[in-house]
Amino acid sequence: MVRGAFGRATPWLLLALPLLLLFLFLLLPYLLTFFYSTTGATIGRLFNVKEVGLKNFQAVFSEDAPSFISVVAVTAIFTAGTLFGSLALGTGLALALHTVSAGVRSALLAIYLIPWVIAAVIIGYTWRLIYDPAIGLANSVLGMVGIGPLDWLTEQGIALAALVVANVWAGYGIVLLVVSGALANVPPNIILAGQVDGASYARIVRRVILPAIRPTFLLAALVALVSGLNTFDLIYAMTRGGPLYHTETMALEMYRLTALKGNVGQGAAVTVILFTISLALAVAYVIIWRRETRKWS
Amino acid sequence: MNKRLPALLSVVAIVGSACTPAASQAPAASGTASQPAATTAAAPATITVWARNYTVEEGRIQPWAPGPKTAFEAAHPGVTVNLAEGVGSTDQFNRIELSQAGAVEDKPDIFQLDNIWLGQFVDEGITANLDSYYANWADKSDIVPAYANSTIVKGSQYAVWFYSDIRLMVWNKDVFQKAGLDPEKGPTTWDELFADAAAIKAKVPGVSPVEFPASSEESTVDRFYSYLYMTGSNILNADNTKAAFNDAGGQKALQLYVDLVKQGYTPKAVLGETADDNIAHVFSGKAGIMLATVGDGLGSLPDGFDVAKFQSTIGAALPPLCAGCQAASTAGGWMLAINADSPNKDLAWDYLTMVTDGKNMVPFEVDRTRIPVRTSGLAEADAFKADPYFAQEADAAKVAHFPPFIAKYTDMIEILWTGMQKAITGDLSTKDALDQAADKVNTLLAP
Repeated sequence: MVRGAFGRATPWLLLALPLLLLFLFLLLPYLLTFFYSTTGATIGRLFNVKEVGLKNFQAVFSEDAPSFISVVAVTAIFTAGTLFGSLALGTGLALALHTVSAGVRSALLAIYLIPWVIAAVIIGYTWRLIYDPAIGLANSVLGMVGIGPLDWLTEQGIALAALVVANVWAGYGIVLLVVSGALANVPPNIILAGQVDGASYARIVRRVILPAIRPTFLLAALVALVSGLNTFDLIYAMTRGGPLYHTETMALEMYRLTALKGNVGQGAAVTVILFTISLALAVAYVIIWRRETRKWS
Repeated sequence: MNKRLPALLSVVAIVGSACTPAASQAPAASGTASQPAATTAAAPATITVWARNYTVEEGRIQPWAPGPKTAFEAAHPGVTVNLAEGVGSTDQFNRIELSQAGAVEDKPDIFQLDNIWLGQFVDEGITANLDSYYANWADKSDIVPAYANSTIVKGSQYAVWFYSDIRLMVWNKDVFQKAGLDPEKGPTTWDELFADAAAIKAKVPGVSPVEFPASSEESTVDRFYSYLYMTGSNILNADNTKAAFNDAGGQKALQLYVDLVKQGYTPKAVLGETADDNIAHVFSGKAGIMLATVGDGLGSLPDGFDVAKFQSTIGAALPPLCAGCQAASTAGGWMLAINADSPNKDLAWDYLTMVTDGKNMVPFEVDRTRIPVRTSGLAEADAFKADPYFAQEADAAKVAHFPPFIAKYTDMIEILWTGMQKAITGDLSTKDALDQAADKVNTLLAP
């Protein structure tokens, strides 16, 4: 009887510590953020704060420097660029590596994953140096092909493209890793069947390999998407969201309002919006993933 | 809203700190200060100091120790000084604010603060009122009057000046030489500035003739102020209630920036650059002139530079003047304050005055090329011989202005640098950009 009760309790006992840690370090901060988003908390006053309802959200939506629409637009462009760039580069490299022997593949994979393991701040400052109009590599390369120097991080369009390139370089590794893993599980006989039928490699990729790894590909896409959405350190190191907020994403807006202006309430409101978007994307992923796995099972 | 949930969550967050000895000490009455202590302590205590990173750097001269710390601890048996880890500027601001909010466990007795934070910290009740200490402090007359007055907020003293820094224009002598200019003479007027810039542009390809910071951060406005002040303009009006930077002088100063960019003497890329980026370009010979920088060349020489190389490579002088303008510079710097919640204010005051003593500060100020704020420190001119530009710094100190120490300073400067950027990018005219910024500042400062 006692043994039975203990047996039933065992899973919960084993889970108790992880659940406590999860509550303390994940759930509690989330709850506090939701709470603070409805208060007038500042960095110097975090307790006994005044409740302001949805005023922080109103303030965020009505801010004109920068306008929330422009922040959302910059976030969307940066995230979309990161998503498609990371997927294209990561998947392309994974497919290329799939064509070489296992030994060479492992060595190359390790090399290609180096950017992914470097801290984003270091990558940011490195790319900032590359884009430096006076001493940077980017303008030197342009000069070699006869093109005049560019102000890489000053004009909005060029700056956003430059940031996307840096972030893709920093983040394609996870896509490469996930897609490489999935490719290893594609049954070789279906690829062989395609080859026997005379299909080109490009056709085999399009018609056989990509459909076979679709659920995993979706996972890689979700990771790249959320990583683009939440990128802060790299953009901060490169442009600090400027000039004129032209590269300010929601993650930077959150930091600027909270850490620089000390307005914890408004910063929390932006965090809640960003959290809601990320959650919606995650839910969409789960729904699509379940549909896909049902199709393949 | 049901108040139980936030209360419950807050309890979890603060329970750890509530159990610590530091938190259980009864705080002294906020905003009041008792008389200075005798030279012996009644009970064991620790004076915790939160300082900037470079003032507690191992292997470099520190103003805190060993001299003052040893002397203080000897005079107060049982009392120890805890020099906590030094941090960068933003982290220093945030840890003081978070400490006030009760969100971090530790609290300092003494903390170092940027002069521009003083108004905000006084408003938030973080800094102790030091009137009674000043009243009995013999050394107060040693503080240069302009500095002593600048620690007064709402009629009371809230801090003690630690050290200062002054803005100077700097140029790269090698670049000047290549451009056929006299490397020992920087431009003294705006006309000369444009002429020198034209010469550099024409004869030294690949080098930015003139740079200034214009990115979205504080150095953009800080390095601009000297040019604003020299025109007779100011940041705010006399009682700090309205913007003044959009008057004719302010427009003239900002137009200088706009013209330098328009005429191709300054790359538009400065919109993404901080003062640190500019100075790195000047040191590396990728920029000819930087309009204004903190005159601390000796204090932060890049690798490969010693004093001799610094002097032979870099020139420094007061910012060049426009026609009809008055010489001007900007002073910044750091102060020390006592936490309003400190239970050991008397001890903290004793240690603070030992540290800020003019003679004690000189070795540190020489090492870091900072400007003394004490008459006794300024009198030690011989000690500053190693600094090739001490004379220029001393000249600049005579015409230095302070930014306003108001509570909303950090919000205000974001509006100002955004306006400056709008003019530099050409989105708005200089007048419209500054008028728009002034309207926003006026709204911000409205009671």
